[in-house]
Amino acid sequence: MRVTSNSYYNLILANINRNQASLNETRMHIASGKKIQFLSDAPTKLGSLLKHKDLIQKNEQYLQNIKHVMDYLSVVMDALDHGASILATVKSLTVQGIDSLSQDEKKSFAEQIDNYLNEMLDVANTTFKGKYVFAGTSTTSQPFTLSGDRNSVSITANGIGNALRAEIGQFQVEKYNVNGQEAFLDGGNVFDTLIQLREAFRAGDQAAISMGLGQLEEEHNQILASASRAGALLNRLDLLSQQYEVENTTLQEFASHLEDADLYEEALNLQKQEMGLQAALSVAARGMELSLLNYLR
Amino acid sequence: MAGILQSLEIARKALWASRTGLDVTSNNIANVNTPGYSRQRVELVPSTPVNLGFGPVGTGVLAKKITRARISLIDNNIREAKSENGFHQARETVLKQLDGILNEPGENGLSFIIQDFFSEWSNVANQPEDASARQVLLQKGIRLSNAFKDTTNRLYSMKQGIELQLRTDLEEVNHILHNIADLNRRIVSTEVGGSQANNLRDERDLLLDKLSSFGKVQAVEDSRGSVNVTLEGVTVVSGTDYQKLNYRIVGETGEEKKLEIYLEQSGKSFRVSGGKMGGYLNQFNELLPDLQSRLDLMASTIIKETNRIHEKSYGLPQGNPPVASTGISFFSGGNAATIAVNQQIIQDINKIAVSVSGEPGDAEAAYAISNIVNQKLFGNHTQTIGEFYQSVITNLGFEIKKSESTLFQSELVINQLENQRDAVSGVNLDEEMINLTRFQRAFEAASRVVKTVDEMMQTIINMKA
Repeated sequence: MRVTSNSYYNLILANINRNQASLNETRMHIASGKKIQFLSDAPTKLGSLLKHKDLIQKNEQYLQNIKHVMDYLSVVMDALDHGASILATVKSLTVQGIDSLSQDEKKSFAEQIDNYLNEMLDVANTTFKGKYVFAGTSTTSQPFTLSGDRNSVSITANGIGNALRAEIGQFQVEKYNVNGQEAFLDGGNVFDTLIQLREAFRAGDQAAISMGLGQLEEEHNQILASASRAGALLNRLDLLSQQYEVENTTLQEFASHLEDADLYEEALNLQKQEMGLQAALSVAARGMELSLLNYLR
Repeated sequence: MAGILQSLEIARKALWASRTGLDVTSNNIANVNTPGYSRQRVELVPSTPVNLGFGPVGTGVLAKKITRARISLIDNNIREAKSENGFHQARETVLKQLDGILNEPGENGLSFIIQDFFSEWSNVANQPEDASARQVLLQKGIRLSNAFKDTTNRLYSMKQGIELQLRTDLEEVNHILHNIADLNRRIVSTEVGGSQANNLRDERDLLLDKLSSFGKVQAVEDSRGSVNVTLEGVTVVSGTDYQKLNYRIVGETGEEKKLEIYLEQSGKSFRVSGGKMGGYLNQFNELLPDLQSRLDLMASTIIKETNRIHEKSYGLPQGNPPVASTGISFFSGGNAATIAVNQQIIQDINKIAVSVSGEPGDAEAAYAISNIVNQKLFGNHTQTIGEFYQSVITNLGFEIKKSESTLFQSELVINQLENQRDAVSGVNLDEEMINLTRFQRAFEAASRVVKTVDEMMQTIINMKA
């Protein structure tokens, strides 16, 4: 076959271009640290890369939701612990007051219990980020109010709404709030017990005081039970969030494996391609020197 | 025996033939880089001998004709390859642009933005009474709408770009057709006298090569040397006549607009499947509308599903006594071009409805909306919106890759064929240097003959009787 000057130059040019194109691609990978920058870079891997990224994004949202619930629950637990300790204090006061006290001392106990009533009310109206935690979905209105004569505590008009739920996984929406009704009113009304006890101390009614003591015991257990339910959920969510974190680390590793450039490999490629280009260039230079013109003098 | 002047005549012819050979050779050297140039050769023949009694005596050399080295079989193959190459080149150009527009994979791509928007509902659900979460949700809703609109706008301007490109291409095609018809006339009139229109033929072959990158070309030469050209099966050059081409956009209002190419004279449209024009038509009429319709489907599904839940839910209660808004849609619009966050919501973020019961802490609606991404709403209830979009862009990625490699292949094929053609028609400088020397030496020898004859004549003239 006749080889013409043009086909020789075209061949050289095509080879140099091809070498430079692949060299450029490797340089881009190294500079950006990514193997996949465009859809066309690796269509076979693109699908699973996008799927992984999608999962990571979702898990991060679930983690955020869980974190929110955990913050909420720790506020609730603090409040319930405080409530329980109030009741424990009142209980020890009552035990002291059952016998051997003068009428005056009993009256002063009644005042102290009245103070604790206020504190208990504060506990039941605890807020977290401006929201009433024991009010269910009616988060913006105060759930419990003490009547003017301080003789009864009632649930306000909007009262306690429905359960609060959070999305902690795909198709997993979990109820997480502690209902004020369950914690403070059901199975014995904490406020009524405190009011009755106060009245019993005021009146010096020994029988009523010892009845109140029994009642107090029950209320105390009830609040502790609510707190431990919240604590159990908190633990479960803590585990779940750790699980998500581990899962995300794995997913991120996968995604990085698919998407990120392996610098070691790229550096080798770079060297290989540079050698290729050098070879093409030196062949070009040597070929171009060869001409009959050099010998016709 | 012929006179001594006959010897001088032979030498003259030899000088002239060598000079012609030198001219042809230097012309080859001069055109070594001229596209489409076929190397030329002078055909030398002995001139008619004179028959003397003892036998014929040669009368020297004649430069009979100058021919070009060309095999038209390879031309046809090259044209076919060029038309395929043009098609994929046009496709690749458009697809690469798409790749840039879609921003995938990355945080500015639609797949991230969609997921991000629906995730944000979950954040609002954590604190439905909180204005800042609602504000962020609003911004993400706007970002989502803008992403759809931007992509739609860019697809639209890509179509405009294609139209513009097609217009320029057609101008060039018409120009080429005009020139081919003109060259037909000049070639026929040159060759009718028996000479060869080498340069004109080279020019015409080059134009046919160029034309074939725009569409599928068939060229058939008739006995007088003029070619009839068909483009995609439609006769566009016949002798000295040619058909001017134009394009138009067809499609009723509301229908998808399509580009078509037609003959200006008859108004008849025809299908163009190859070459750059075929590639652009394919992208304009099929790929881009297809992608747009998928984007529209995604946008309309997001609008419909979000609004369905949003409209029957309640916003944050406002005023005294507190009243919660309801019945308000979150998105307005109906497709990727018109999607927007409802103006009422932009004005008052408390109207974002996340509560099913109307109570401020209730976020059941927000969960339902954030769950839209998990529902299999696409592909006959087999794909979530994320999976649907992923399959769309993965396919696109494959298309781009395919185009790239086909383009690469077809360039190799063209290279290979052009080398084959060059093997016949191309100029090799070393070869021409040898020819140069060959003719130089012949010229030197012929001048020597002149000198010898001259000396002989001197001898005769100076003879003293």
